Amino acid sequence: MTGAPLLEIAVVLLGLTVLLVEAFATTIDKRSLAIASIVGLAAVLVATFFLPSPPPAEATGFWSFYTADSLAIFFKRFALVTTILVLIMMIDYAPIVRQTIHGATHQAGLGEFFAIPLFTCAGLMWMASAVDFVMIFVSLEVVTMSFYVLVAFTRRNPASLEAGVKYLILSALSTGFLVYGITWIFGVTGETNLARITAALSAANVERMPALFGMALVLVALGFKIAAVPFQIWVPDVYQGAPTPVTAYLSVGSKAAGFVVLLRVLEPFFILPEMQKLLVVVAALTLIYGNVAALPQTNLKRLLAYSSIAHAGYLLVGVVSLAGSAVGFYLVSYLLMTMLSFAVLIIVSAQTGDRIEDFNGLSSRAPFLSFAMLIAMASLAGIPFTAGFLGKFFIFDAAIRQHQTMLVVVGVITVACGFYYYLKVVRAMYWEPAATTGAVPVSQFSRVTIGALIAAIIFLGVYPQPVLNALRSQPVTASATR
Amino acid sequence: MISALITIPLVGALLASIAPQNRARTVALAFNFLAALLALTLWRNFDSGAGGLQFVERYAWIPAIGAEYLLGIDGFSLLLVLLTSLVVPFALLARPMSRGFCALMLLTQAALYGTFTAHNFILWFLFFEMSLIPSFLLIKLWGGEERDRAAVKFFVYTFLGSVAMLLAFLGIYLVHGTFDFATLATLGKTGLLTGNAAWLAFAGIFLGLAVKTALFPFHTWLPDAYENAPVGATMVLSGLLSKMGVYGFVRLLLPMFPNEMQAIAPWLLALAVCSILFSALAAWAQSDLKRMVAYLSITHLGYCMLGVFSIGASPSQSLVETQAALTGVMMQVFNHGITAAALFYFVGLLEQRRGSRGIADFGGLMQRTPLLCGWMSVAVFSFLGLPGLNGFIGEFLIFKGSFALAAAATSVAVFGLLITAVALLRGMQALFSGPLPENGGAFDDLRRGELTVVVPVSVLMLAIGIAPQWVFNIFNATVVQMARALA
Repeated sequence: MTGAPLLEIAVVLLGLTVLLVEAFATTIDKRSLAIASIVGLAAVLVATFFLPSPPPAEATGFWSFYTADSLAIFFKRFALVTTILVLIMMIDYAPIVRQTIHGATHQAGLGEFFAIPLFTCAGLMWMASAVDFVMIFVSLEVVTMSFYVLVAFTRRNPASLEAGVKYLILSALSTGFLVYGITWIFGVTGETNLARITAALSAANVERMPALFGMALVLVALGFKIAAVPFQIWVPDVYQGAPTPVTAYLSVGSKAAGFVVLLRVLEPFFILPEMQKLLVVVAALTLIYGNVAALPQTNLKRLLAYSSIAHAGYLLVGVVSLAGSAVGFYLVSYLLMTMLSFAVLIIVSAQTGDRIEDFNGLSSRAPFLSFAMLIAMASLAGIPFTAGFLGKFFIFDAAIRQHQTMLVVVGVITVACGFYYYLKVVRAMYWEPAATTGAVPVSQFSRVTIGALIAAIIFLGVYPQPVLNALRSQPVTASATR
Repeated sequence: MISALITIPLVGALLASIAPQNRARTVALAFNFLAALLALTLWRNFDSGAGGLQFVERYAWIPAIGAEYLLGIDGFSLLLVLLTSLVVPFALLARPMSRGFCALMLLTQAALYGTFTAHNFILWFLFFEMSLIPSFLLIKLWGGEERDRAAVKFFVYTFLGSVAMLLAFLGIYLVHGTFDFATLATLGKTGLLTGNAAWLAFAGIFLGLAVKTALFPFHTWLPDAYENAPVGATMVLSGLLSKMGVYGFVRLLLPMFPNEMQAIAPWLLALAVCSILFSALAAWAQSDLKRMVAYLSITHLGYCMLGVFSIGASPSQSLVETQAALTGVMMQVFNHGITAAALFYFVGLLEQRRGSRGIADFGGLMQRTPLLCGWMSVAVFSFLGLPGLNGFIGEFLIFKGSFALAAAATSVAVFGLLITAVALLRGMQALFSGPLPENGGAFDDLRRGELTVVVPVSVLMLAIGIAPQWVFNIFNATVVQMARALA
């Protein structure tokens, strides 16, 4: 096994280097560290396209915990792109971090702010490759630990601190569930490797109840990561309190990693039919809760938190329908549109605030930003010829094929709810009179990034084939759909 | 070939948007010239004896959802492509406008070419929606006093209609797994869907198309939009965009839902008749010239709908009458496109000269501006269906066909012709004769540049009116094939 693991090693080394430089070079502009990190991650991203074709996954032996199949590579790229975008947002967010940290210099703390996401990224990349419960646990913890720090990073801000504590406690609890569940499954099968667990569970004389119990516990932990009902309680508060780039990171990176693991464990889990029924219920509840609770929100960051729950619901419909590539495509579209809305949110809220009414009349003050937000909201709502539409379409298509009629009906109704609350933002931007005047400054770097995100959303909405091709011929879906 | 036809205006839009402000229109017209040349080439190489699709371009696009890049031209498509190539440059010549305006017009043109030639729903819908955004912006940015309200109303109406249509097609896709128009039409013969699902799908598609054609009672966006849009945009809206709805009715609803059409045909015919009579009466009551023509446009689209619904009422009764009605609908689509654009052009000229467009603001134009009045009368008489001009042909054929298929509705609808004539002639009388208004300032007659636009269009109207055979030849084979498929 060479090639793929080097990617994570490179990212970790990059993170360590950035930390060391920031510790010793006290006089440099810390934002150059972010630029260096972005360049480094971009280099790793390019490297993923030149990997030697992976050897068939080892059934036993040292490397049996790690896979480099196309799903893994796809989500490694996903993690890298997410992290790059988050770092770009962090540059815009740096002034607010400075305000809330009183250090020796005006740049104290910024270096860590740029370095920690690199370790999160490495964790996400490991998670994409994890096919063993021990590996899943360890990589999940790498991600979670770094998020503990990031969520509470603006520590003089009470809201951020509250978010940090809430995330810490609930996340630790879910970790407890995960480990406990893993031990039950290990107790039944004597294995931690997913493939070997599948084989063991297929045997006739396996005890089903303890295995089901263990899987339900694992599902609780994963439900926490992907913000599925009833494990979503932490989401609105943490999303609202955390620094906005971290919120974006949580809602995209953390969620995507949760779904990769969920896709990986499907094969052993779905041997027991009860698990599928359980997931159907969770998906329906998540759809209803996320969309209905989003309706009355007046704070955009909180609205996006509920919308993130709602999208977890659509993704779960895809998972239940065993549509790995539909879930993958949905995650990509979700990445693009969520990042776009958070990028605009960061720039606008730096000037006014993050309530929806702060966006009133934005179209006259910042036509480019409001157009970007328009595209993001249109895509989140699922308007045709944006990536969000095709994402939902693929999911519902797969659900119909699997005869999940109830989920499709619930899904279509909740899409209508989504139209209401996403277009509320559009209405504020284009139809309400502006409370303040004056243009909103946008740095050139952000402008290019936002432009690229808009282009990507529309391109994938019209021609999704590149992503579908990258997701094709992956073992998980191939075996899961049959 | 067809892809090139769609690409030319797109490239033109790009260049027009970066061209110097005073050159933008020239760039736009140059690209229109290219597009028109290509459209004429298509016409020349078109085998008018064949009813099916020609110049087919077919590529895989998103195999996972059955979306194909499928372009093709049959007689009806070719007719509308030619109409588009004619009306858009005409609209661009109406008034010199900024580069943004020209670019958006070209964008609309590309969307129209696409809508009229795409034969896979996803692709068709892409173009269908693509036309919406530029026209929304054209109204919102360059419109009249009430432009914001009119633009939003236009957008919300057509967008909701589109959403309903999209949901209907997604439902059909989930049952049949295809978006291909031809396949769906074949399936439609035996009933595309059953029970309530069929009615839901029918209602969704009907809503989307009815809003676009401004069928009563989904028409209320139209007078506002037409009145407030800048004159060039109004010409394109009335001449071309409303035709997308008629095209959709003939291409989608008639072949895909024959049973449903037949079952509620009396109601649909009643809607068409209401559309004709009420809007004609409303036109009579208008004091604003542009708004009057807008209402009369609804009347004329109502004739098209009368033809379509009467075919739906009893498709198998008589092949000859079905053909007559279909021919009439297509002819009316073509003629109304030219005539409505011409009439709005004249209204634009009057508005430009006087600065207002209330009927009462004018009077005695015959003395000062005989040329303007003379050429305008050609458009007016064509609009009210005087024999010898193009407007007559389409209306006559629609009535001929629909009388045999749905006699009662047609008999009532004929009164629409009378009211239209009264409304238009009343307006013309107030405009052309009588005393000059007191505040009437200097008022130029048609200038040479305007004459070079007006004369060819009027000659064309006359040519179609006297010898319409060359237009029939474009779509005759297609009509025969369609009528046979419906029977």
